[in-house]
Amino acid sequence: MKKYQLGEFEEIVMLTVGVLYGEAYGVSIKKEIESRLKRGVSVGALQTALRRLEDKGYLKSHEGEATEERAGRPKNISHYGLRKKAMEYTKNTRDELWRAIPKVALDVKFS
Amino acid sequence: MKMKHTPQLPLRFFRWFCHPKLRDSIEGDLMELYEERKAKSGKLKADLKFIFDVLLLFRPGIIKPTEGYQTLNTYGMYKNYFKISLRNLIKNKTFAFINVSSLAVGLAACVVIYLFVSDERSFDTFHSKSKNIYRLDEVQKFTGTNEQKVALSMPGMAPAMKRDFPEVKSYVRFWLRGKQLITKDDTKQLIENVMVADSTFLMCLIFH
Repeated sequence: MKKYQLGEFEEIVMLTVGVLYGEAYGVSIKKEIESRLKRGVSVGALQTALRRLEDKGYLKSHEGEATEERAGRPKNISHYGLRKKAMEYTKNTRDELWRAIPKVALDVKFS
Repeated sequence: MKMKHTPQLPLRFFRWFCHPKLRDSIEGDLMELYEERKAKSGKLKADLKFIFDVLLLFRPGIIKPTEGYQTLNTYGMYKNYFKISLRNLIKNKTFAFINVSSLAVGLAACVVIYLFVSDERSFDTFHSKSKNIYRLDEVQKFTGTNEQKVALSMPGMAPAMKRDFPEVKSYVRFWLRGKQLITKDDTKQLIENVMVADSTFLMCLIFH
């Protein structure tokens, strides 16, 4: 099912947008990923991922409030688009694969 | 709007290459981050990270398209017009039927009227004086009968009209006599369609 393909980073962004329900915009998504996953996220990478997800229809965005620390620039708040199925599909395929692994394979000890 | 003291050159660079739809919101993100970093680890580090972020933002998804980001034609508008009108037609079927059918009837009537008028006006225009040639018709009314319009007139009318109306320059009368036996010297000949006309015939009706 090619149409529900999500990249690894895209998947993380999608999940984080869900975590930050209603509060997901550039900086907050970046911080959330950085604090939860302990990995650096550049503004550029994040913004391209967001645009790509919007183009695919998985995410939508609306203009949020403009605060003092943003010098009056509006927030671009992301929320789920119509195709949430993409995430469910990704999770289901992962779960299926996990279940398909025989227990022995996970128990292998390298000595 | 208060401007933050971010490095101006990278900011200007960013504003130049960024897609206008994303520009303000990303710029806000950058400034928010810049202020935080400045408070946390000093101006120099914040400046460097700001420059680094701007450079990392310089990538296809963010850069504005070279051919322009605004659509330069109005096809979308017309597409929308057609879509809306179709939806309205489908929604109000009765009124759509009334409107469309009456428009069709009206247009058909127009075409018929045009054809009729142009046919009437094209009638016998090959005469060079066709604009000034009139046919005298008659409205007959006798006691005991209904009024009737006939496309013929009485022989005495033409000279009388020429006498009474100065506008009438000349007249021609026709008289269809049908099959006639013509005698000339010794020969007799039966001619199918005989028409009697005034001597002014060729003067009035100049054929070209």
